[in-house]
Amino acid sequence: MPPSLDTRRQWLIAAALAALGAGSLPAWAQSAGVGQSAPDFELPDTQGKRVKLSDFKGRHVVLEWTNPGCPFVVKHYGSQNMQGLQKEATAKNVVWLSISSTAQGHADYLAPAALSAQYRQWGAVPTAMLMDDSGQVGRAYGARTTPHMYLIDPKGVLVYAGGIDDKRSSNPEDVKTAKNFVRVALGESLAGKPVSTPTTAPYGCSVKYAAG
Amino acid sequence: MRRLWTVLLCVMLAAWAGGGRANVARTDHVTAELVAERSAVQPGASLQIGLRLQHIPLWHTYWRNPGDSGLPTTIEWQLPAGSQIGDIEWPAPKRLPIGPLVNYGHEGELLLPMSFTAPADARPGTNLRLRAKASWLVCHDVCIPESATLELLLPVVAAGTTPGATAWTSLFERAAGTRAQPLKGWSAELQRSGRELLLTLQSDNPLAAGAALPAVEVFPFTEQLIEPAFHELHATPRGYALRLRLLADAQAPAELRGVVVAQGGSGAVWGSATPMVEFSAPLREVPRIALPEGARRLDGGAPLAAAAPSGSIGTSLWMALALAFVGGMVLNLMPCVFPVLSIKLLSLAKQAADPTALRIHALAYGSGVLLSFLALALGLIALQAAGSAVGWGFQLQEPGMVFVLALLFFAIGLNLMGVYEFANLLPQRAATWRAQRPASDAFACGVLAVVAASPCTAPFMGAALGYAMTQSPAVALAVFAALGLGMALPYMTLAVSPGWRRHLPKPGLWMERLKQGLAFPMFATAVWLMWVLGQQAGVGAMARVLMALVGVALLLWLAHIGGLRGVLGKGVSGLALAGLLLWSWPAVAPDTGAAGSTAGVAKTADGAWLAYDEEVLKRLSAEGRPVFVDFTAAWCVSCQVNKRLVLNTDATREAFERANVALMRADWTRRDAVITQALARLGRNGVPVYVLMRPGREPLLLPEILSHAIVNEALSTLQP
Repeated sequence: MPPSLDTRRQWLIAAALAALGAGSLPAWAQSAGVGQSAPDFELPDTQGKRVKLSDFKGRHVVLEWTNPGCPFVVKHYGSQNMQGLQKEATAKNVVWLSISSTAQGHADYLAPAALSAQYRQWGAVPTAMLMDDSGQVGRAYGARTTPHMYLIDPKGVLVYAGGIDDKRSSNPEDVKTAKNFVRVALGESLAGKPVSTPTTAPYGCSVKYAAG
Repeated sequence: MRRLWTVLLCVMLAAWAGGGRANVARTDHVTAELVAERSAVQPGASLQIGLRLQHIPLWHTYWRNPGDSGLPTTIEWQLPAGSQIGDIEWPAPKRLPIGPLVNYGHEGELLLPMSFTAPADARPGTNLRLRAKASWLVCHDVCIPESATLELLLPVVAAGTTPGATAWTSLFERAAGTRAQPLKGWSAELQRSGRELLLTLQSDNPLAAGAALPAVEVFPFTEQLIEPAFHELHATPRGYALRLRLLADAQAPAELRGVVVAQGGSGAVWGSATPMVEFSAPLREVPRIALPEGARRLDGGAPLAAAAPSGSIGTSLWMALALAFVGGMVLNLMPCVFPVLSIKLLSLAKQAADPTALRIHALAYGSGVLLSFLALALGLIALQAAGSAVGWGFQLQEPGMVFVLALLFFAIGLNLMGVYEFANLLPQRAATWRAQRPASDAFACGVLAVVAASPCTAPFMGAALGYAMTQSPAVALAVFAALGLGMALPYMTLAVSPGWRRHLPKPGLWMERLKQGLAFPMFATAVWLMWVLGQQAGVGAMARVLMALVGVALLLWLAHIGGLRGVLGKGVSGLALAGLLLWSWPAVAPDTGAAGSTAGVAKTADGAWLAYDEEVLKRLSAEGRPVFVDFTAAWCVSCQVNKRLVLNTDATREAFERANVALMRADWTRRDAVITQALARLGRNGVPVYVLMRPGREPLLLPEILSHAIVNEALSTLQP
């Protein structure tokens, strides 16, 4: 029996298994890790303008996965925590991209105009609010929760991935006493130092991904 | 006297504490309260208290490690000075899929028990006031953080008094019966290669041979360490091997700690009182993850050929051989085979042949069956090797083959009716050759039986053939050979043991009548093949083929009445037959191909059934909607029977509707690579296959012969 037959069959079965499990297997098997170059992407913002990650080469970029229907997101906006960090960062020429990977059709989904109105009302000041309805970019980064935070250095390398802080709760009071990992990572990276805590466990609601 | 007072007081307090349910917090999704195992506590003594959460249906809170997202339930205590409270003794969590993510949590009624120790200086007759702020995240499609401040008054009784039971005592006892035990008598190890992990759990003592290993689920304690959705369970000769995967941004731990829960509620496999055991697996770096020898998928996934070392004959091969053998025996009873064989046996009974001749006859028949099956197997393997997506029944996906079979069954029917005698049609030389070699007749009969059986898939055959086609060619041939042996054996046995013939009435007119009567199943089979052909090639082709049948009948009749004597007559009739066959040979209808055949199904009468579409299937699964897929073909008899008796009945339709199950039909009447691959994923190679796709869980395969009870039972697994 030719060996190729067996290999082909194995491959087929593996492919079949992958396809079969697509509903249950995580789609970020190949998602980016810290220390690797951040996957490039191009997404429309809430105005429909295309925004490309690689256009920001040479600057620090913060990615913030968000969903206004999630109480953990509400915790950080209701306490002005997220807006404060956005102001600090953008004042230092850091690009801040808020990304919504909520699927159309989910109860939490807001159309671009409604989404941007909600964050404007909260006083959010990201560089752009991006629509990732298909969830492709979220999966590429392995974003699991809202919020889930990432920091990309000017060379395009992912230097931080994880939670916003160490108080894993939905209580706004905890913001005052929490250690904000993103602020620390940003400070270190802006000072040209390696990030001391490059990964932490994110916490929050699940990202409401589209099927597939 | 004093003692009596204490007892009385104790009883009163017990009644008050047990019935006192004043401190219950109700939110929109959860009812929360603090409960105690006993009605009172002695100074310095310990008892179990707990947070009881009742979730409304479909909503859940989280385990200590919530999985991909979520937050564990927390309790902040305000306790009387000198008292102590232990950690939450978490019960076994449940895997809760949400889209591509998986969380670990609890639904329904939940008790989070803890051990409470009263202050040593607590004074009998007083109450201890335990206050707690409990916070939880309750989620279904969306998440709501909730919290409640709860209180528990715990009476203190003197050291000599035994506190009574409460309304919650049995709840605590149940919880104790499922509390995690340390894993003993087993060793756990974690291998790592990059992000790939392999957790092995091996029993120190050999497992009882043949003992069924229950499926297990592993829950690590550390959050955001592994991908919860990636959980691939294998049984090994010594226990379990689980493939897991580190999250992209997670650091490999020095050891993996967590619990492993045996499904089915028994801890027998661990030799433990409870199904949940706690393990700690030290990490070992390996260059490549390899499953242990003899590993097989245990969670219903398709067998991983890549993982199973070839050459070792596992139980599954013997199982497949046995199934094939039984399936072959059952084939004899199929409507297309039974008449042919009964006639053959009866004609044997007529002759008082000597035992040697009968033995030769039986052997010749047996080799005819066996060699035909092996030829089919070789054809199947060769086609697969050439890259065709084919499976059992592939013969019938060719309209030409269906045509030939229809002609054959029609001709057999005419023969049984007595329209012509086969022997008279043969040229003289061939007739002589045949007369000198009676075994050739029996051999041909064996081949004919297999050809006649090819439209039928018997019960048990599906699993065996599905297994065969995922193994090496040698194994595939062995399984087909077992099928052939099973099919040949009943006839061979009857042929060589003449005893049964004594019970038959004397040969006579009844035999002739029976023979004629059995022509009708043959004609019915021909009609059914016509219908299949109509599905494949359209009404025009079907009419041409019917014309061909008329022509064949005419020629046979002419031959019988002697109208075709002489070279001219034979030449003309031969040419006419050839021309007729050429003209009527069916071509595949122009709308063929995967899209065409499925679209054809979508258009058919029963609107509830969607055409098989993997995109749609994925979308429905992700929406959390279960899908029932009917893999079927027009040429598959058992498929049609199941459809008529079970699937297309009102009762089944209603059951599907109640369970909110989407229905999908994969039509394999014509060759379709997508469906062939879908079948291969399910470990099958032919139809019928019935499968219930359960979101976030392994697909559930139903038997090949359906009943209402089987469908209902499958649907009941959807309930949480």
